[in-house]
Amino acid sequence: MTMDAEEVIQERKIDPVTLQVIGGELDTIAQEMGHKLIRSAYSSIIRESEDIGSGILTAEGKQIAEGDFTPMQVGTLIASVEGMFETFEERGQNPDEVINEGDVFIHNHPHYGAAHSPDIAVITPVFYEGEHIAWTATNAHHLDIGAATPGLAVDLEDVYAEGTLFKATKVYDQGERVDEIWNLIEENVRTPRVVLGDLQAQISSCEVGKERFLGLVEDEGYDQILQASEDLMHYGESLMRKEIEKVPDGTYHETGYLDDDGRNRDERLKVDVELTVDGGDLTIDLSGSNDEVMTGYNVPFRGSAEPASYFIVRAILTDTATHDEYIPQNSGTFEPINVEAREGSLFNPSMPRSAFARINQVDLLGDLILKAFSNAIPEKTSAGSGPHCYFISYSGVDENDEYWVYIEVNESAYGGRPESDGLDAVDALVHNTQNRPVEDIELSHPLRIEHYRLREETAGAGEHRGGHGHERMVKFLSDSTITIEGDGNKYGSWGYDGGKRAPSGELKHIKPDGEEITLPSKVSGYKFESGDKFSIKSISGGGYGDPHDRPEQKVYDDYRDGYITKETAREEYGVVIEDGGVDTEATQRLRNS
Amino acid sequence: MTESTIRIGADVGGTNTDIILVDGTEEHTYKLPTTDDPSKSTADGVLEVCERAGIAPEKVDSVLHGTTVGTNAVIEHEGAKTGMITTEGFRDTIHIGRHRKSHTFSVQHEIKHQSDPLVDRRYRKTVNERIYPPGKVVEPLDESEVREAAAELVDEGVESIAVCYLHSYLNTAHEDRTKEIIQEEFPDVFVSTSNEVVAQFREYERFSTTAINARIAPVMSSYLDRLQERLDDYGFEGADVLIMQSNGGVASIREASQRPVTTLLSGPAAGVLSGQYTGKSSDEEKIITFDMGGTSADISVLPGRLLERDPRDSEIGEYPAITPMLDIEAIGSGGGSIAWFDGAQGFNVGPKSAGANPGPACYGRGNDEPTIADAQVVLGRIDPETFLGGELDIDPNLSEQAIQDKLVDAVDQERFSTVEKAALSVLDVANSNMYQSVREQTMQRGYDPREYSLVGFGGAGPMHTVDLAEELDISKVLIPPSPGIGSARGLMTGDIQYDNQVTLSKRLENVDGDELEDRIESLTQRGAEQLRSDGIDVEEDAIFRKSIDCLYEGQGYELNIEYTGTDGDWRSRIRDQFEEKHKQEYGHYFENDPVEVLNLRVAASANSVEYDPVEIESGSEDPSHAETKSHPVSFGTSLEPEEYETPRYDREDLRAGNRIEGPAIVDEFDSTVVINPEWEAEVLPSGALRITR
Repeated sequence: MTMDAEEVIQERKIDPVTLQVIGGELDTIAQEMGHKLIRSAYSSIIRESEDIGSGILTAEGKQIAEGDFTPMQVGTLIASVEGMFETFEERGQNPDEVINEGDVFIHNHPHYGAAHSPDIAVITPVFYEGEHIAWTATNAHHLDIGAATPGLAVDLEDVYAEGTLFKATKVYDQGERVDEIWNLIEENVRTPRVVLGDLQAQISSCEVGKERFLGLVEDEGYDQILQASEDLMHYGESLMRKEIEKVPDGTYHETGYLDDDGRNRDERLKVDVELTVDGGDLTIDLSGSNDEVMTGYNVPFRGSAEPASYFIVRAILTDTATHDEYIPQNSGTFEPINVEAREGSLFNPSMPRSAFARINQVDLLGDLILKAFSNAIPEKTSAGSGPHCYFISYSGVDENDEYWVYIEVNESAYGGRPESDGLDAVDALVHNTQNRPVEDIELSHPLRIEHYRLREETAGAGEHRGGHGHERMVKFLSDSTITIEGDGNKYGSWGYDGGKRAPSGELKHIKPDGEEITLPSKVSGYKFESGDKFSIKSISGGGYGDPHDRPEQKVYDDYRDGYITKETAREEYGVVIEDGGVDTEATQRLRNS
Repeated sequence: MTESTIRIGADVGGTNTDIILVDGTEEHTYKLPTTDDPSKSTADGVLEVCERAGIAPEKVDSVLHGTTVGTNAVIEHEGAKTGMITTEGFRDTIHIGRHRKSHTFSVQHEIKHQSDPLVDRRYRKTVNERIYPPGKVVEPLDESEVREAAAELVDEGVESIAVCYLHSYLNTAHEDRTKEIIQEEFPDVFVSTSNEVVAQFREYERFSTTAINARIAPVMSSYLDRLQERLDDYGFEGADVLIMQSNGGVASIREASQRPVTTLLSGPAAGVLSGQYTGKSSDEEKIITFDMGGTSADISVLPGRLLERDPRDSEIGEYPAITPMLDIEAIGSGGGSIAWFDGAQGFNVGPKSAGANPGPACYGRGNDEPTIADAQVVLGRIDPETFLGGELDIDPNLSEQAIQDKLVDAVDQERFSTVEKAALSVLDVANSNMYQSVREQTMQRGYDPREYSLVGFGGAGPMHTVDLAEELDISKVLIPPSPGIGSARGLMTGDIQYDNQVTLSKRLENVDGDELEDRIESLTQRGAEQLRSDGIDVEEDAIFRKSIDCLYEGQGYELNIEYTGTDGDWRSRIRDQFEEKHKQEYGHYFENDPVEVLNLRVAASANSVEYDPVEIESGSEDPSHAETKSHPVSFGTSLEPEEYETPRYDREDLRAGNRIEGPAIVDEFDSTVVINPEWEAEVLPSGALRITR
């Protein structure tokens, strides 16, 4: 069934003023929940990288409001509440009897709606005058859940190897702390103080959300809030449909490859995107992608493949840099978008496959959706971004036999864009975390960062060149173990319309005697000795348009800033630099030849 | 304290410079257009206000100044040609930042610190040196590289150099030595080291703050020199010239020239002080200040004291600047904010703004989009005849036309069915945006806004204050006299204050009591020296506010608690204070988790001169002598508009003790006070209006 934006607008029942007022209230509550969580959390993946989500849902699990944090968390709480209800049904439990005032549930099962198992959702029911009316929920990436390797894990046999899985598990039962569960967690994760502290922070933030939401119910009435949130969904939906309607109807198809599954190094994995625009509807079919793999390198469909697809479409079609209007942070904008993936494929694995490590696949997915759109609306897209990050967990055991774990997101860069160069060294396309200050890392862990800087001479050449990736050198001050969830060591990022490709990423283990070992993009539980070094070079962005169309002044500026050499200026851009300036005549001759 | 101190406040805004002179309990105000070089309008205004008050320049004790020179240089990406010398391997720290995009949902946006870097990459040089926690030198400073780097930069025409090394907050030796070398070789080049500007960990934020300081210091110091010169020429040699800082304290020209990054929120901070003063002189402890102008509104909550912003949220023009600043929330709601429907028939007020130029539709300067001010005009709240003393022609027909065309004709909606209803809808949404902001700053921190008084000022503030109070369920509103120059009045109340801090970063149980005491003492001494250089009798007049930032080991956000010394069981005391604060902020605390002492802070300030409120003539309860006219004005919401016959009063003619029943409107030169139905205003001896219900 197709719909157009005008029909959706007609369905709204609340006037625009009340809608703005209640919408603002709901946003504020969801935002406050996330904010409190970030401020009081222990692990840097929450407090610095802000890999969290927060929201309010109806008792049935429909979204009412959501906080604006990293895109990969968008909409995942809906899937988790859905997963809880599936669990109740499988267990033969009556939800009305199971769910009581004062309960706190945790949930992280990747086959039951979770984004992936390190993201533990804390979900608490909200009761008003004795009736269960809503849920407040937060999601957060936890530092360790007791998987096969510390922090992150790639080479896993199945979902049971992921560590500790929870399906609608109560950690508080009618206000009473369920000590056995807390003990179980404490005894099964490597960094118990951090994980328990962060769970507590999540619970407190759900409590705040509950209190604020009940205040709003008192003021506005529950029915009015429900109607407003429904209208806000319609509002988001009509905004999105209007934008989809502007894209020429048709089917756009793109394919890309991932390095490997983390175990079988020679087998690349196909990612296939078929995008169909039909009026105000958009279908993204991933079924042509690789079969599911026998490691942890699969993608939960509801928890990750869908959110990543929704996100990138929204970033392209309702880009906040070019749109002034209020775009509600809710799942209404996703209503016109239908994502499909064959059961048993990389993006829709079956039990008992593991789906712990899923970020690189959705990075490439986002990049390919963008590439498919570039066939239709190149003025709103870009050349190839990174697209990958290196997600790395560093760990070791200190003098008190206690684990330290640090998870790092190594960024990539954006491709060149219709009006400007790509962004340098920013988090990959479908997420938006923050790095951790070098001084903070060195104050906390036995690591020394020898450099963290832009990767020169690698940006894809173009009229608008790609952004620069980064390079980081880590020196280990004690014996350590790392796991890398990465990709893009075999394939660089693509250029658009005459723009050049950017080279692939590169990882090296450097020993004190100078011996260099090239590492694949994924390793599980890899060992470094004290004094060893680890070199990370991330992917830069591809170029947009013919490099010979780049103004010579910009090429000269890049030379002066040390991004390119004179040789690159000549060979890639056709710009001749002599004696501290551009030789314009020689440049003209070279560019015309 | 000397009797009858004469102080002048001069606050420079984008359009106007506001001047206030206080002589005992007498107050004189003056407003003039800001000149291209604001030192001119400032000095001219200061002289003019003296002439009007009949006071000779040599009698003036101090001139307090709020300036946007530094802020504008940052926002407009101007300032000195700046270089940076930094640790080998970290040339791009200020370019990469926190590797975060400034828009989450975007492909096309720019990141300010990349598109307009504070220091271009070609002027960022690296040298070999390295300090590692807890402050040891793991690689000595290569001095010849420093000389070489500095020479290259100077050769390129760099006027100011930021020296930014990793972990310099733990050991300043390498930065200090680098500064020495540069000053030896190039005495004319300005040098800022990161440990002097802000000795706190997190390199990106510290480097950025230092680069801002380096960039604006030459501009600021030459501006302040010009100002001093002009004032001297006019005969004000005897007056102390003091500059308002973001922390709400004032600094001497000497200090402000060295650390201009501390002045970036000069104007807004003065606004908060002005609100605080209005509260104090009306015996209100807990207040919310609401300062609304043409393009934005500044809101700050004072639970009996000034609150500081979390350094991690402090930025100017999208560049982090982590010096202490008052916690002021700026939102894009001003008189010039535009009301509009988007493609999906969503109704928006702001962030688009017509600003002061072209301004609201009624100015007739080419903007035909309806603004908040246009809504006020069609509702009859702004009187075209008295607006800005009648100096600016405004045409209500243009307001009506804009609302009719862009709102009433745009949708088929009850709330937009007439111009009047549409105008009330504009106010409903504008007020709701402001309400959200106050709510975030109060309820999210456990403050109940209902216990507060709302102080409204700025050109547009007093028109919205009672509406906003109604939304917040606040029952007391204060409007100071001449609210349009509110910020200038705040300048009069600023103490001289210098903040110094250092990162300790140690587990509480490993902190040595003597070391803690020593380091606090050395911060205290540093502040004392700064005060002494300003000619202050430290033993007599100085106050030192000592505090420490703590967190649970592993957390990323510190909480600030008062430092109470190392007597007795000081560790337990710190722990208890911290846990109490943690519980209040987040709702929980951990009994057994290790606490870390992160930063030590000392704010050194000197007793300022008391600013006694002026007193106006008193009269009876009856205000009718001040009534100028009466006409219908719309109140209520767009669902239920209610028209009331509403009298207008001239504020100049009001006397202390007069009581005005709402609905009513009080006009004065630069502002309009709207008193809603069911509210009553009382004129206080200070001339402020207390509006209650």
